[in-house]
Amino acid sequence: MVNLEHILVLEKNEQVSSKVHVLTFATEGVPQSKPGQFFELKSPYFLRRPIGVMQQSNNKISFGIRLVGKGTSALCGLSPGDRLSALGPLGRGFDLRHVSQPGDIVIVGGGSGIFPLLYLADQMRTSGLIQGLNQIYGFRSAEECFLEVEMCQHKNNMTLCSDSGGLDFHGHAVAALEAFLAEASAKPSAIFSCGPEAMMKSVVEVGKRENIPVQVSLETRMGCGIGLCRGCVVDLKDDSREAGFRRVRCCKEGPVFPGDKVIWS
Amino acid sequence: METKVKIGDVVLSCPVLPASGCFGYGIELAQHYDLSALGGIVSKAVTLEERLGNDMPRIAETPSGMLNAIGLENPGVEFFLDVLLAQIKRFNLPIIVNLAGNEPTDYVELAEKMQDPQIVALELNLSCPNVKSGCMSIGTNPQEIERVVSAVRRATEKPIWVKLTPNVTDITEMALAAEAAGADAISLINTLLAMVVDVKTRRPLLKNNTGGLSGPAVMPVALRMVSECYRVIDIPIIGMGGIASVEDALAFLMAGASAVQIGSSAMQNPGLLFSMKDEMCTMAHDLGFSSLSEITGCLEYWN
Ligand SMILES: Cc1cc2nc3c(=O)[nH]c(=O)nc-3n(C[C@H](O)[C@H](O)[C@H](O)COP(=O)(O)OP(=O)(O)OC[C@H]3O[C@@H](n4cnc5c(N)ncnc54)[C@H](O)[C@@H]3O)c2cc1C
Ligand SMILES: Cc1cc2nc3c(=O)[nH]c(=O)nc-3n(C[C@H](O)[C@H](O)[C@H](O)COP(=O)(O)O)c2cc1C
Ligand code: FES
Repeated sequence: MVNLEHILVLEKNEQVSSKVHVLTFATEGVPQSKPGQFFELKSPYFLRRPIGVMQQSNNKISFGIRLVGKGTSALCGLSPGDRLSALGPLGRGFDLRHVSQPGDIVIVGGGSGIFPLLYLADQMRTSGLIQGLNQIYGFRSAEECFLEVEMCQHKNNMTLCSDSGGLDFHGHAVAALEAFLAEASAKPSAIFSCGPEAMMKSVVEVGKRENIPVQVSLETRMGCGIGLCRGCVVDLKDDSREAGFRRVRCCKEGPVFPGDKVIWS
Repeated sequence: METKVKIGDVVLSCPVLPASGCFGYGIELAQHYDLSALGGIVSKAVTLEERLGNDMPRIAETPSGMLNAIGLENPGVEFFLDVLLAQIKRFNLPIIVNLAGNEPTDYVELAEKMQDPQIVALELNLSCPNVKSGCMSIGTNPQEIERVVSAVRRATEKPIWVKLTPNVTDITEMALAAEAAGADAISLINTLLAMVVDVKTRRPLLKNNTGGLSGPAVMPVALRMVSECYRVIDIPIIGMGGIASVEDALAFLMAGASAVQIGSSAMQNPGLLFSMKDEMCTMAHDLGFSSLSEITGCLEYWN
């Protein structure tokens, strides 16, 4: 039987912007997670906090955490040596089965959705699955950009966008995606997206229009993260059902779903 | 340490059960834990028809607990019997099926369908606060409780556990009504009707506006109710509400419970369910008990 609960020991807590910390833990016996999978991290409050994997290799695991409220503040306040209970890896990650055909891949992220995508980009690169990997990441302002050189070893083919200018692209990540597609010599074979719901929704629209499959990673409020409570459901279009949709658990069947199937709230 | 307990005619290998709706059907945790450390499996509520439950969000955190407004989402009794039951049976544990209906007749119809010998008891959910009809609207009225329980009593030979709601002025009235109508045990408590407000949006956080409060926050209320019921009824009590440690579980036994269920805290810390039996034995031994069953009702009240 595979252990579900792991005790992680914090090695490093780096503040990479005013609102973002990267926590790196030593892991022993933690199964290798797939990009898009997440862990339920213990907090001092009643519920655990679901956080996607940003990097995992050589007995280390990193999470990028955006300060949102009290739970993420507590996590970002951990010190080296502190121990933290984590359940995982949880959920199903991005589906990479269909990306082996030649063609470019585009990754579009915003906010805390960027962290799991960094892991995806990293895994794709090392797997040699793809020809071209293009990453587009959006920030509200240049000051909020937390992607340091160190965090993105392969800065080429990465477009950093800011709504207020000061980065590679002045404007929204979806506008950068449109600009990229207009100039691309070949149609990308897939788009992967994670971030604010409005952004993912627009990315799915673009994908539909351009006939490119989009996978999105969703966030919902979770009671357990491990499939027990059905607190986290998402509706997916399903013509085989009388109602026209089926209700699935974000934590178990997700958090990554085919974008064209998602019925947005 | 003898860990066996008897709930009426039902013998459980130990008094530790998962709480309905907080354990799925056991399938997820079976991949990570040895379920044989449990006294049985308690299913999520089963209804006659498939239910989608309430709109999202359905979960909110509270100080020392949580609200849920799932609204009894489940695939319906047909799917339960045709597909899920076979999977649950593979765990080789006694199965307790939690039944919920809109109408009194729903409970009868559901009970009649529960024929499998591995189903050792039916837990009638007269207490879910998150649905518009049935459940809590029955469980807050002693006449209705009596009506439903006696109708189910006539329809099945299986032991009936009646799950009660704390959202009443006098829990003993409800427990006595269930007992009079032929219940074999009572389960208490279900969640407390509650609300969380998001001041930024000026709206309740849950789409259902209200939800059921569970977790450590409710434990003292639950313990008081178990203790009150134990003093007036003769049928066994399955105690629950906020259990998060071995001390909590023993407190329920002392107050009068013959077995306990663990819900919200087991969702945060699933290992708790599976270490509970051993921890109970160790602690019971240290306290001078030689069996877990003798702890039931040993609480000594002040005069
Ligand atoms: C699958 C998944 C992966 C995630 N990955 C990351 C990540 O890699 N990095 C990151 O910074 N954040 C991530 N999030 C979001 C993160 O879980 C929330 O920001 C965090 O739970 C907020 O907790 P809090 O106590 O700081 O905020 P509060 O607002 O105080 O939290 C109150 C409650 O609401 C819940 N909640 C609030 N916002 C969210 C949200 N957006 N999603 C789910 N639950 C929420 C909390 O878990 C808590 O139960 C992810 C969410 C999901 C579902
Ligand atoms: C997410 C969730 C779902 C629940 N679903 C059910 C249910 O289907 N039927 C039922 O009788 N009780 C249900 N309950 C109530 C629990 O079984 C239990 O009575 C209550 O949560 C108190 O115990 P706890 O504090 O240990 O969670 C649910 C509770 C939660 C938190
Ligand atoms: S959060 Fe409990 S089932 Fe998904």
